[in-house]
Parts: sequence; structure tokens; C-alpha cells
Amino acid sequence: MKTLLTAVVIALAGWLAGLWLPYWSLSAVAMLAGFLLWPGTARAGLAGAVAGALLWGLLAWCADAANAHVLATRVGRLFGTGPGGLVAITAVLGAVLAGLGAVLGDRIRRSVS
Amino acid sequence: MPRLELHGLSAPVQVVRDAHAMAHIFARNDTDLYRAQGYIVAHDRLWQMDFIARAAAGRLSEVIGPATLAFDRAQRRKGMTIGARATTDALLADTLMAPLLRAYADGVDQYIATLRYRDLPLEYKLLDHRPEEWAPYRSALVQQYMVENLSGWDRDVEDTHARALLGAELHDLLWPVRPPGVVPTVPTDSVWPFTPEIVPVPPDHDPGTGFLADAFRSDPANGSNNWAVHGSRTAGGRPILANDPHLGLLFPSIWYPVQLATPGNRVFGFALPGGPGVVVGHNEHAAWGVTNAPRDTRDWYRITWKDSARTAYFHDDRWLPVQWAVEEVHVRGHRTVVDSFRITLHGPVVYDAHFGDVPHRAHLAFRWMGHEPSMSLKALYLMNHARSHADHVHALQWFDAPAQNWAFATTTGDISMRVQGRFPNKWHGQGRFVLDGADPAHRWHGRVPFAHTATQVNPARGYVSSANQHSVDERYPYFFHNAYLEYYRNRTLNAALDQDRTFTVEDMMRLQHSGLDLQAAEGLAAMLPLVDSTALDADDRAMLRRLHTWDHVARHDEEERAIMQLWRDSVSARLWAPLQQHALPLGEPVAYNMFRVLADSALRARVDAALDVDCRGIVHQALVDVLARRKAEGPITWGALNNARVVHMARVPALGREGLPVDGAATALNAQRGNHGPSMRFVVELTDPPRAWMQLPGGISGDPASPHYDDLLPQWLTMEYRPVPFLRSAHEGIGHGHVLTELAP
Repeated sequence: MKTLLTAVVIALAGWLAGLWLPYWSLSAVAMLAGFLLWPGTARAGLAGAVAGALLWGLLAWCADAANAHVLATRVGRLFGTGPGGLVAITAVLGAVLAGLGAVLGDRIRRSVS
Repeated sequence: MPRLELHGLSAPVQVVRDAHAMAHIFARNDTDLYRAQGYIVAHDRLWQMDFIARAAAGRLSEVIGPATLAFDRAQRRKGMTIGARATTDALLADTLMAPLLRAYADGVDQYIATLRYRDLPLEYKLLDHRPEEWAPYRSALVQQYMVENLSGWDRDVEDTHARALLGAELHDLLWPVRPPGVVPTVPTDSVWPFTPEIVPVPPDHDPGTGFLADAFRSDPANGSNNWAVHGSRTAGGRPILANDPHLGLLFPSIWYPVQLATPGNRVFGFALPGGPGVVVGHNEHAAWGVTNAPRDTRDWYRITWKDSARTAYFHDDRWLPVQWAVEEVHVRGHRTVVDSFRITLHGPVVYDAHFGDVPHRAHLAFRWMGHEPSMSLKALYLMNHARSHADHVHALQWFDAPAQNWAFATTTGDISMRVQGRFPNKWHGQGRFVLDGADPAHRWHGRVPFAHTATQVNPARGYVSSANQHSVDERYPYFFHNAYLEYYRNRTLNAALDQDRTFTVEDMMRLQHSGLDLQAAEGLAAMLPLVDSTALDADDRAMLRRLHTWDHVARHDEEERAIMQLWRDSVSARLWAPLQQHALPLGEPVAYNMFRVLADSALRARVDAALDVDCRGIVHQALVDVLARRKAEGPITWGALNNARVVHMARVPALGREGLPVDGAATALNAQRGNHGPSMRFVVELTDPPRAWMQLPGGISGDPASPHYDDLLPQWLTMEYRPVPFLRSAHEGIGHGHVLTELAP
């Protein structure tokens, strides 16, 4: 439950931060959550990954739908995939970014406490 | 109705976007019009125009890094910025052009000011850079880029070496100034109605050998077709004009189609992103189209240096000091490179011990018409407003570079062709070889006067046409020479227009799409008789029969043109291999001259003896090898070999399109070769008002995220042309479901 809650917090805060800050703010938000919410290293990583995947996957899906898949079809060719694949790749990148951020936050807390 | 702010307008400007997002801009006056054009073009093509201006100025390394450093240095050493600065000064000193250019630049800058990072075109994010402020200088750079693109080629060094090593006779056979059988753009009807200002030929000189050949040349195949048929020979009784410029096939498209309207003038045409007005197009009274008019406007001068320091050189019995140019080339991720080079009164010394050459060689100075100020943008402005042939001629007084063949037609029935450019008035043969920088007789002597321009108005044959061939015949009194000219498309075109019949708009479209390849016809006629068919097996003889009976149309899904190309290339490589064995660069004769040799037993014998080759044996063996490869690897279609494609300017593979089904070849009217070919197609019937049809191998938008990035490409592949909506007012467009935006101060 705590993992899920952490994920929701990271996703929401990451979305809010992204309205004003660059893309990497998601990582910073996840790190902060990992530091403050102390769910444990594995759980922090899992929560961050779920949050990142959900947030970036959803944002990419919305952007792709709004663009009628035009750009994602072209850029997807670079990766040998289609718009759906590109959304999935974006979700994976979000998962890695937020997951590692949350783990880092957790490790920092452990090392300072 | 959406409203956008555009400061500096005297009244609101309406912009209507049609179904393909083409902009129709309605303004109260020209200054407002060009301000809006700058804003709208920047909206659609900002990265492209920014990048072209950077490339022209030799500033790509700031974005790309060391990979483009040599290119940037070459651009600067060739004097690209010398020309662009001179052009800017001349245009800004012109009371008509200065406010228009400033308004255009301001429109671009106001658009840039609206952009946040997230709004930047994709390419800025991929290459991680930011748009740079626009200015009239950058419009001049775009113009300079076209001058370089269309006149950036010569063979002076190669011809000098070839003459020294092979002798004048063989050199003239392989690289003639005017080979037999060429048909000029403007033939001499009777006598030219002027007294020429002929420059005397100075005594013969030996230019020497051992020079470095130019390593940064533009593509000599940059060319085009244009023609205009008189109303007496059209089904509708009105002139029809057609134009298709052959350039790199790129995303974003090189051309930006747009309608520009003020209460006094209404013009549709193809603009270059970064340049105000349109280059090719029509207004309510006239239509015009251009092809490149190749002429040697670049020469290389051997410099007599005073000593090894090379700080002074001899000219006209005096020692003159060199001037130094110092260029700072910023390189991404690396230290700035400071490049200094010598400038003589002939021009910059492009290659020296610090750039491409070795210390002891005779470093050459580079003289190019592109160093001089160009008023071509003013000519374009006046052309956009031309109402008659007299207006057209008046406008072209200002057109200097790049030299173009101007096809022109009016709603009142006139057609004309004019070979317009700023041409140095050369003595006979001047600039074919490296010139002597010490001798003042070797300098350029003024220009061919404007009144002596080769022109043809309403000729008896009922049409005018050009396709980058020799501009004039030997009766034109001024010296004409260029190292690369077109030999096939022009005759295919004239043969079609010489038919005793009337023509329709659809006929013109069919001609633009014609894959009929005269080089294939003449090349096979020269090579096939040299094949010993008794030495071939049954399969190969079957292929040979196919080549004999082929109709010479380069179809993408057939084999014949591919076999012809592979055979031709193989013959060329073997036949001219002895020329490549010299330590000095000689280059190769063009295919037209190769086939001329192969078709004539006496010429073959001369080449056999001079180069110690066996023409007949080479032609036979080359075919045997090509057919053996076909057996081993299977049939190869022309489409697979030619690979018609449109590539993204930054060479991002995902943003381009490969393997397009196109029938055509470099030497067919549909001049398709790899990612080079018809960069747009344009046909106008001079009704009142004119009606136009167009094709574009891309789209209006440069944004890969836009459906209008490549939505016109499918039509370009077929005979389906887009009728151009030539709107009388913004509101006329709304009735057709077009989208209206207002730019307001």
C-alpha cells in the first residue's frame, strides 16, 4: 500500500514539477520522495519505476494521440517500432529515471541517518 | 478567428491556410506583406532557413562540431561571406529594398521571440542548438548559398593538367568547348543586333602544372527544365509556361509555395525560405520560371610570390602586398579555430599550406562572380510585380547571380527566354585554364553589357525552352564556356515541342514526368554495335535483344536502364583509367563526349592510340561483366539502383523517405537521380487571370510532427497536380473551408 501511495505521490508531484521545470525534474522529485517517504530501497525503486512509467507513458500517449501519431510514426522508425512502441520506450525511460531517482533518495537518507 | 500579434504592421494582415496549409497572405502594402511573410515562413521553416544561412556562412561547426570544420573553412576561404556582406551593403543602400528586407527580418525575429524551448522545431532539440536572430545579412546568405549551389563548379585545374599531359588535340577531343550536335538555349536567328565589345586575346602563356584541384564543389547536375509555348500552339490559345528545378530532394522542401497579395498586386509562387518574395511564379499578368544558365564565372590565378613567406606577389610589373583575412570558426566542444588566409587582387587564396595543400605548391587565387554584390533580390521583387515583357526586362537589369535562363509568358500572349546573369567579358578561351595572376591582361575585363544579353522573344517556332545546355551558339560574339553542360534533356524537350501539333496543360505535365532518356538511346546506339554477340551465351543474348528493342524509358520497375547505367559506368571507369593513373587530377570526360568517341571509329582509333586502350574490347568486356553480375546476384531494377529518395537536411534517416517509385533518370526530363531531381513542378496557363498547377516532393511545413511535412509527396510521384488556389481575397478562401488567421499590430 505504501509503495502504491509513494508511486502516486511521485507521479503527481512529477507531473506538477514538469509543468514548469525540465524533464529531469521527475528524477529529482522521485529522489525527494525516496528520501522523505522511507519505503525501503526496493520499494522506493519499484514505486519510482511505476510512477515514472505511468506518468511518462500517459503523457507520451496523450501527446501522440493529439498529434494523430504523425511524429511518433516517424521517430518510431529510428527504433524499428511504431507509435505504440515509442510510447512504451518513453514509459521505460520514465521508469528508469524515476526508479533510480527514488533509490538514490533512499540511499542518501540511509547514509546520512 | 485566431489573432496573432505582429508589431510594426500598418494594418492587420490576413493569412489563409488552404487544405495543404499553404499560406495566402493579404496585406495592405509591401512592407506589411514581407513582415508577415517573414513571420509565416519562420513559423513553417525556421530551422531550415537558419541552418542554410549557417551553412552559407561557414558556421555549421558551431552546431555540429569538428566534422564540419573543413567545410566551414572552405566556405569562408572561398569568400561566401565576402559576397554576402557586399550584397547586404548593396541591398541596404537601396531605398526600395532596405525597408522590405528589414521588415522581413523583423517578422522572422518576432516569430522567434514567441518560442519557448518546448515550441522549438524538433531539429533544434535533436542538434541541441537555438535559433539565431534573423537579419537582412542572413537573407543575403541564403541568396549566396544558391549562387554557390548553381555556379560552384569548374575544371580549370583539371583542364590545365589534361592539356599539359595529353596535348591540346586530345584535350579538345575529350573536353571540347562546344562538341558537335549541341543545341543552344537561344539560337542565333540571323545576326545579333549589337556591336560586341570584344576583348583581345593576349599572347599564349604556359600556366604550368601541379595545382591542387578544388575539393569543395557543388553538384554540377544542379539544373532544371523550363519552357513556354506560344498561344498559337496551345489548345486554349493562351501561352503555357512550365518549370521544374532539379536540386537536392530534401525535407523540408527547398521551395516554399506561397501566395502574396496587396491591393496592387497578387502573386503566387515558390519562395526560398529566408528570402522575401517568390523566385518562380505568376501574378495576374505574367508567369516566369528559371533554369540554371551554366557559364564559367569562377577562375583560378597562379600567383607569382616574391619569396617563400608569400606575403607579396607580382602583378603588372609591381610587387603587391597580400591582405590577410582572419576568420574565427567556433567548434562545438572544442577550442575556436582561428583561420587566416591571403587575399590578392584576384581574390582569396583558398588552399594553402594550412588548408589542404602542401607548402611548395603554387597556391592559386580564386576569382568568382559570387564575391560581387548581388541585386538579384531586387530583380525578384520587381519580377513579382511585372505586368509586361518590358517590365520583365526592366526587372532583370538587376538580376546578376546565379545566372538563370528566364522563361517568361504574359496573359497578352508574349513568350520569351533570356539568359540573364552578370558575365565577365572574357577573351576567347579566358578562364578555361589556370590564369596568370601577374599579367593584367588575365584579369576580367568588365561585363557582357546588359543590352547584349542572349534573348529570344516570340520566336517563329512557337516556343522557348532551356535545360542547362550551351546558352548560345558559336555566332554569339562573346566567349561562352562552362565545364559542365547538359546534353540530353534539352533535345528531348525540343523534340517534343517541335511536333506539329497543339499542346495542353496535361501535355506539359506529361513532359515533366517523362522518363524518356536520350542518353540511354544514344549511349546504347554507340555501345551495342561494339559487342561481339557471338561470344555471349543464350541468356546474355536475350538481354542484349531487350536492350536493342527497349524504348529508352527509364522505368523504375524494369531492368534495362539499370543494365545501361552499370554498363556505362563500367565502360567509363575502364576507358578513362589511364587518366586516373597520373599523379595530377584530370577528371573524366562527360558521358556525351564518351559516347561521341565510342560511336565513331576514327575517334575510337585516336583514343585507342593516345591512351593505349581498346575501346571495342572495353565495351564488350564491360557488358560481359555486368551480365555475369546479373547472373550471380539476380536481376536489378532501375528503382533499386537509382533509389529515388527524399532525405532530411540533417540526414536523420527516420525523417526521410527511401525507395520511391519514380520513372526517370538524370538525363531524362524527369531528372531523378538518387536524392536529386525535380524539387518542384509548376505549370501555368496564361488565362486571365492565370491558372497554375504544382507539385512538391514534401510539404509546406518543415515540422516532422505536422501532417503537412510530406503530404504533397504522394502527388509528386504521380501525374496528379494540385491546382493552386489563386485567391482574390482572404474571404474567398474561407468559403472553401480554409483557415483564416489575422496578424495584427
